[in-house]
Amino acid sequence: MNEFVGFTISGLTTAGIFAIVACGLTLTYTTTGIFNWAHGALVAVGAFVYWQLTVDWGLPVVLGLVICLGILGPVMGVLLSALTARRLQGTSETTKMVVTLALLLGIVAGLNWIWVPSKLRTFPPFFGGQAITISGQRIPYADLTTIAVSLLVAAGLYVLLYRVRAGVEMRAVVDDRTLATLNGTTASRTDTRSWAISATLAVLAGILIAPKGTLSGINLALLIVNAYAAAVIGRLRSLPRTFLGALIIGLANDYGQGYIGSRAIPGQQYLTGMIDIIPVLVLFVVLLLLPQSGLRGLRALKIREVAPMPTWRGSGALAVGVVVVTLALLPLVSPGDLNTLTKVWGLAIVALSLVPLVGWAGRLSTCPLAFAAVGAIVTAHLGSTGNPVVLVAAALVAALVGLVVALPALRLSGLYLALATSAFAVMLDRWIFTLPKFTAVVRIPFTNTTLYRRHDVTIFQGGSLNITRFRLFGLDTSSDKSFLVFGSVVFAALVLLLTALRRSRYGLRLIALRDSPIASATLGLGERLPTLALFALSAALAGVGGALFGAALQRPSVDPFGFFTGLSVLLAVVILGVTSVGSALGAGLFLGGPTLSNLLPQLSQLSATLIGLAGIGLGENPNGILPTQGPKFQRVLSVRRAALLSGAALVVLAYVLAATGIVDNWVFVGLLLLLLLVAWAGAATIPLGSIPTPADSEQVDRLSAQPELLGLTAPFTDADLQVLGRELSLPDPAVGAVRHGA
Amino acid sequence: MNWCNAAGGINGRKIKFVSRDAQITQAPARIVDACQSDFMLVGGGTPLDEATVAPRLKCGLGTIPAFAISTAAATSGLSAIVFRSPSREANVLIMRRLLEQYRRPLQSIAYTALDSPSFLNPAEALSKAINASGGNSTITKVPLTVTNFRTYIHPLLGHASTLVLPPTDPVGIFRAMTDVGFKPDLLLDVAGTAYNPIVPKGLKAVPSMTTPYYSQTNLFPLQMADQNPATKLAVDLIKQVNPDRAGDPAITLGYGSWVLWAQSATACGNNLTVQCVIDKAKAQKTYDAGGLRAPVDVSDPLAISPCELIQKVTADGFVYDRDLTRPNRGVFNCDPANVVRVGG
Repeated sequence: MNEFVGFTISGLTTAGIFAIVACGLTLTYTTTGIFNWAHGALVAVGAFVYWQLTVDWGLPVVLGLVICLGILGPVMGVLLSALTARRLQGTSETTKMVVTLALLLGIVAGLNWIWVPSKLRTFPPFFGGQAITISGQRIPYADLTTIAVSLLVAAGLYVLLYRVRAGVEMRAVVDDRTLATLNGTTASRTDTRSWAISATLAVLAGILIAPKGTLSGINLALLIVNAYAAAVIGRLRSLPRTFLGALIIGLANDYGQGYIGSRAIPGQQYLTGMIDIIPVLVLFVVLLLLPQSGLRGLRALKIREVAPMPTWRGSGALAVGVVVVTLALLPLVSPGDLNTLTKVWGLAIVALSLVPLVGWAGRLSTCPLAFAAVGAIVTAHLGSTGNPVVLVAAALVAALVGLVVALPALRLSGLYLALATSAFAVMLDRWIFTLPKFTAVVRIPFTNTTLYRRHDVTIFQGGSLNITRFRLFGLDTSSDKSFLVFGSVVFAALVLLLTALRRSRYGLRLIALRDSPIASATLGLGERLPTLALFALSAALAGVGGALFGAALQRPSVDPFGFFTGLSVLLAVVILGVTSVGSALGAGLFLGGPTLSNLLPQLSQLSATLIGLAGIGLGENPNGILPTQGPKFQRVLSVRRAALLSGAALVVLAYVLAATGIVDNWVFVGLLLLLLLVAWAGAATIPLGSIPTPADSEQVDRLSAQPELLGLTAPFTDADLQVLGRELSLPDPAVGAVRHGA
Repeated sequence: MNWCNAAGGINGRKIKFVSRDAQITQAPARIVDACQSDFMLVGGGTPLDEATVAPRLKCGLGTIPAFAISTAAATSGLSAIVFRSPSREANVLIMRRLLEQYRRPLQSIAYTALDSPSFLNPAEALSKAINASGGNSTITKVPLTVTNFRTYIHPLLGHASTLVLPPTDPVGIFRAMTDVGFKPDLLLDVAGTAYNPIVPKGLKAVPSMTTPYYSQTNLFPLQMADQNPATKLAVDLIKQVNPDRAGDPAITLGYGSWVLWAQSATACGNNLTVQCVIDKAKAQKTYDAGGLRAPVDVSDPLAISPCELIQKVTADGFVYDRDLTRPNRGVFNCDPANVVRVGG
């Protein structure tokens, strides 16, 4: 009984902190439609600044509280509102998520820069750790304070939203933004106010949670992710339900840890991984069970993102280019960098799996590396001979797992799908992949026929999973060089496959479904089958990528397939432009290549900070870097032929200098980057009026049918849209105009 | 390195220091780099060291690392290991001594272990060793990422009288113990992982933690450097490059392997090959790094030294406990009966 009371008090304290965090999250989501993934990072900022003021500088606690809650919180809120929130209006859920995730990365990297993690930072406990004892049960004053503060926050929010004009305005903006504006409410001021309150609540949670252990930016930011489940139980609208959600999560978490974590119960060894992720499990179950209408979220019918049609010429050039450049680089790259580079193709293919799913269909999935891990596991367990057919098995099994996720996820979209796939990824990498030995049995249901039985199976074999590189028609890819070429060929083939898919009717259908599900349904385009097929295809691609990534690592542990690495892949590919297959190559090179760590070895936070900054910039330009910057290079190349020739000559010269050892490899890379910079700067000097239509071999001058019959006898083709665009003098869709249905 | 070169290097040859950052997951790539230009890998280590064995052996690169985590790395070819993590034996000197004073508390030991194979396997071996030496210990698994330890500590109320802490920052556990009112009679460290500056700092951060805390180690205590020229030299050298690390016993691990390498390379004379250096290193049956640590048999990578010493862990630092250690070789107790077998 004593134990039960102990777990309950501990659970209520956890619930109190989760409630404060979840309320802040709900407040900004309801008023501005932005689910702030960086909310946990604000909690961490609050904790660190409070430590700096009251512990390191020794300021009185009251002064520290006033500065943190009176200045830091509101200022952070106002800044967030001005820098990101306002720029995100009219963008898709993907962009909103990536920008706030980038903020999370950027803020945590910044925290690690200012407060170096190697130094231990601790708080004296509130009230010196004193407690009251009720019938033998010790209840620390700090816990009572946390519970009391969370109740005060609840009461304060109720008064604000129902009794104060500013709060009523906030509710009015949530209910109907236009109507509220017509009634004299300045919506932007209301938004800023809710961001300020939300950030202040985050700081408050940081101050309450910090004394429980040693300060760690990333741990605090991630711990608070558990509170997101509470916000979802409140359907991101209702504050009372959010409090109820926090209560459920807090108590489930602490009862689970207390009653399962430390007991000798049957099967306990299989559950210890699970109790660590109880809030995530609750989140997953809630997402699947809550009524559908509450989960649809805001479907963006009018978004700024476009998905340009890839041309055969462009994709062919990319496919041939990656193989040729890989072959050309082989003699230059040092063996160590070569070993690092082997990871590029696996990661690039995993990134490629996001292009149809996120880019074309707008389905926001955060678990590409979970499917990749499935591919790697299948390859390791079945592919000891190096037979490349195992890649097919990896794709099939990953596709099957993809379907398992897709079936319940069919009814989810946008943010809720992102949360569900996140929960799924965390469940796999923190629990399922780390299960201890078990016996695997595949049995035909309702019969005694056993198809497969294997004892002592461990999924990742405690980090000693062994993946044999492939043998193909007598060719052995066990060396880094041959594996790199093999990977480039597989990547090139998959680029062509995706191009064919995007140009097919199925590709057009995906775009239509993304742009307007309601219009698609009206036209009789079913959503289920294409979406299921898409999930399976994306998972299969990720499975192949995972097999290659695992084969590059050869002895992978579960860490490289973790949820957060998966998020980096998503972030990189969206920042580069998730609608374009080229972005996958860029993401692979950025995350798997040796460039940054070799050029700037001292700046280990650099890649996280760069992703953070670039991601924040995405609010301004939601199409990503490649689809917007690519045409600029095309301009230079088509207008200034001489620039193209001299650029090519300089590349060849630099290559020869590097190959003959006259210049260092990194000088060579530097020269290439410099050339790109010059070409990019050159693009700005060309007046817009002089830009010809992009040369395209498939460009046609005539419509495929009479204008009034277009779309009736046969669907619109991309060529039709190009012709119509030219004749009506519409701007090129690839450079930022709104275009639907293409 | 500068000190060694200033003293004439290895038979007149100067050592060139090259540092390679494995960034946890990049270890195989850095091994391939090292294969191109380096003579041997000395004084380093990486948590995921199993993946480094194949590329290292492929190019014939020898190593004397500061530590080995996996059995595959510890027992691999072309390597000599001084500091042991995977082992088939365990040293239970601390149990033998404390059983004399704390027999009852040692009959109910809660051994908190981080739930990951690289932590759990050695913890299970040591828990077995504790039980073999007359104690009674039960493993409590704690997830790696847990921050609220209270739900793991609460069930120990009334069930455990001694606590073994996991090798992590102890502040969260100390706070949880204070919060639930768990006051064991003893805090115990058999693995030597509490000999780390973060533990006294943790005790300082939670002043209510006044439970007696004992730790055993096979390293010569840094706080007694004035009594041991080798330790004094090591502390003085590290102060020149990184004063913050001067109080961290982990520096001894790197020095221990460097000294072994330097001695072995010197002994090879003009026949300076990787195989010769490894052979000379492995020929040392009682290697003590010039007095930096207790003697160990380098030829057997899975054997454990019978020599340990016991220290009291306090908020002000570590205090060598001569009475408990009852040294019979310098500051160490090297009774062969300290060693018990725990596995294959």
